[in-house]
Amino acid sequence: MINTENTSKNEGASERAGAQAQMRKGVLELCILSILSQGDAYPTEIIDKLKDTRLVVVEGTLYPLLTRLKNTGLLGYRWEESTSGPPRKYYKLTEIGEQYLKELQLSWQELVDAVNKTIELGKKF
Amino acid sequence: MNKTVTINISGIIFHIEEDAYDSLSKYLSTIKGYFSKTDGGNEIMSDIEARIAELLQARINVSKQVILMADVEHVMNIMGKPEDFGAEQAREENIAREERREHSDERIKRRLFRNPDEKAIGGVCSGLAAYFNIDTVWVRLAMFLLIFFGGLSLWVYFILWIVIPEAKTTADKLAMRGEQANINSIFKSFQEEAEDVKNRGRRQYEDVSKTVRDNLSYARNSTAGVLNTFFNIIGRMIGLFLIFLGGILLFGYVTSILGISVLDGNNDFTHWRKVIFESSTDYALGVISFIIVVGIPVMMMVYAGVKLLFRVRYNNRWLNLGLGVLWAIGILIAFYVTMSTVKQFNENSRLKETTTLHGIGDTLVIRMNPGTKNVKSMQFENNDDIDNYLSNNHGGYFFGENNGHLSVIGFADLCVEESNSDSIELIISRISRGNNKKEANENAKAIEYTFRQDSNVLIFDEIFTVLEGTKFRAQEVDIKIKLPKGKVVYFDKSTKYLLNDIDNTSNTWDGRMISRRWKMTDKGLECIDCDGLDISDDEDFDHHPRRHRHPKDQVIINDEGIEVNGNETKIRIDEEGIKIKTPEKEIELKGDEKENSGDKRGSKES
Repeated sequence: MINTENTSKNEGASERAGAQAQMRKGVLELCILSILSQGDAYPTEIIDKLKDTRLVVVEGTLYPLLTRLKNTGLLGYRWEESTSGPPRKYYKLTEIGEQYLKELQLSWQELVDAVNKTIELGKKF
Repeated sequence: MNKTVTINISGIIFHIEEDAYDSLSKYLSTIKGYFSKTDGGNEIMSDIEARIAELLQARINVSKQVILMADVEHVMNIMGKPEDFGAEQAREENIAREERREHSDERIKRRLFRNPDEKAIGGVCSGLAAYFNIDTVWVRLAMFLLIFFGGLSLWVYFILWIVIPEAKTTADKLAMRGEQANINSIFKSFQEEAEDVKNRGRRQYEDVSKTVRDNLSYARNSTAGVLNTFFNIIGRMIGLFLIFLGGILLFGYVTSILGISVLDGNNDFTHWRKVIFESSTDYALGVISFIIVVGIPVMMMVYAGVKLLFRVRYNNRWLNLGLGVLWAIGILIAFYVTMSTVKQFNENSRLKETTTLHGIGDTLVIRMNPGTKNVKSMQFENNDDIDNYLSNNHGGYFFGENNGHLSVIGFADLCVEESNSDSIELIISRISRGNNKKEANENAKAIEYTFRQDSNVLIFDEIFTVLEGTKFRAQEVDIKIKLPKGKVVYFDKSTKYLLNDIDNTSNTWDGRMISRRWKMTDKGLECIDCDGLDISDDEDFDHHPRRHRHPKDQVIINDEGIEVNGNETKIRIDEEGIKIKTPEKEIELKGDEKENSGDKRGSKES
C-alpha cells in the first residue's frame, strides 16, 4: 500500500480494480454455495441469480470457479438432458460443501460485523 | 452473399458465417490459452463450449438458421472477455498454490476412513461406501445379509471398526472422497518411471558413435516389432481358444441350469435333491451358488477371450470388482450349503435287533429274495440288471417305487461269525446318520427291511427301503448271523451279492462261497463240500491281486522227481518215467522200456 503512492496513476488504478475483483470473487464462492444450498442448479441458473445481485456480469468467470469447487469435493454434479441444446451439468452441494458453507457463513458474519464496527467507528470521528 | 462454415460445438451442429466463425474460434482459442495450464482445464473448456452452444441455439430458429457475427458478439458479451477469465485464472493459481501448501498435493488421494457424519454404529459402512463410491445402503445391506453366514459380518465389522481411523478433520473428509488410486493413476506413475529410465538410458548412449546407435535402435525396433507381432498373434490365439472353451462351458452351464430349473420333474436328480438337502432353502442356495460360482468364471472367460481377440482395451473396474465380490459371496454360499448338508451326517446311529433262531437243525440255508420282487425301480428292470450293477459296484443307492411310495433303496450286507452261545443268532442292524443322535435314530428307524424263516431256510431281502419323506443319510443294513461251532451254513446261489466279507479258513472270496456248505470250526468257517473243487480265489485275480500266481503254476523239485506245471502244459519226471501233457497230446515214456531209464533206475538203486 505504501508503494502505491510511488507507482504511476495507471498502475494504481489497475491494482484497485484487481483488489475489487478479488473481493468480489471471494464473496462469489459464498454466493454460489448459498444458491446451491437452496437446490440443485446448472450454471445458467446460478448466473441468473447472481446477475440479480450484480455480483457477476459475465458468465465466463463462473465456470473455472465451479470446476474448482467440484474438484475440491464441495460440489457434485449430474448430467441432465435438456430440451434445447446440449445436456446440462446440474451442480449440487455435497455434505462437505454444506459444512464448508456453514463455516463460511459464520466467518462472513464475523467479518461483516467487524467491518461494520470499524466503519461505524470511522464515522464517529 | 456470405460463405458459411459448418461447425460442431459440444455435439451440436451449427452453420456459421465465415467472419463470425473466425471471431468465435479466435475467442475460444484465447480462452483455452488461459486454462491450458489449469487442473481441469479441459473440463472448464467443455463446460464453456456447452454453454456457448446453448446460447447459440437460442439465437437460431426456423427462419434464421445461420449464426451471424452479431450472435457471436452477443455470446461474447454474456460470457465475458478473455481478460476476465484471466483475472479469475490468476486468483485460481494463488488459491491453488495456497492449497498445495496446505495439503502438499492438490489432488488428494482417496483414503479409507470411518465416516462420522453418516454413521449408524461406527461409520464403517458409510466409510466403505465413500471409498468404493457406492450408496451406503448397499454396504449396510451386504453387512446385514452376511450376519446369516455364521455372523461373519459381525466380526468383519468389529475388526474394521478397530482398524479404520475416523475422519476427524476436513482434510480427512476430503481424502475420504478424494481421487481414487485406480488403474489409470498406477499406469501413469509407471509411465513416468519408464520415461525416467528411458532418459537415463539415452544419457548413457550418448558416448556411443552415431552409427552404432542407429544400428542398435534399428535392431531394437525391428526385434520389438517382430516380438510385438508374435505376441499379438499369440494373444489372439489365446483369445480364440478362450472363446471356444468358454463357449462349450457356457453351453454346459446353461443346459445344466435349464435342467435344474425347467426339467424339475420325475428324474433321478430331482429325487436326489429332495432327499439330500435338509431344506428347500438349502437346495435353492445350492443352485444360486452354482449359478454364481460357475457362471462368473465361465462368462469372464468368454469376456476375456473377446477382449483378447478383438484387442478391446475397455476395462470396467466396477464391473470386475462387483463380479469378484459376487463370486466371493457365491463361494460363501456354497460353503454354507456344504457345511449345512455335511452337518446332517454328523452323528451315527445303529439300531440292533437280535433274534434267536429256533428249529434250524444242523444246517442253516440262506437264500435271497430278489430285489425287484418288492420294488419297481427306474434304474433296474429285472434281477439281471441288479446283478450286473452289483457285480461292478458294491452297495450304492437308487430310487424305486415301493408300494406306491418313492423311496431310497440300498443293498443289505450279510456276514457270518462264530456264536458265543449254543444257539443261532440273527442280528439285523439298521444304521443311519443324522444331524444329531435323535435324528440319526429316526432316520435309522425309517429303514424298512424284512426277512422270513421257513423251517431251516432264512430268506432275506436283497434290498432295504427308506420310508418316504425321510432324508437320505447314508442308511445301511447289516445282517450278522452268529453260528455256533459244529453248525453248517449253506449259501444259496442267489446270495452272491448279499454276502460281505465273510472270514473263512480257505480265504475264499464271498462271491465264490455260494452253493457250498460251510461248517463253523475252531478256526472259523470251513468248506465241507469243496473237495476236488477249486475254491480258493485263485481265478479271481481282481479281488486279491497279491495272490496272482496260480498255485499249480510252478516247478517242484523234490525226492519224488521233477514236476513242471504250466498253465496248460505239464511235465513230470519221476521213477515212472517222463510224462508230458499238452492240451493236444499226451506223451508218456515208461522207465522200464528205455535203457536210459534203466540206467537211471540202476543208479538210483545203487
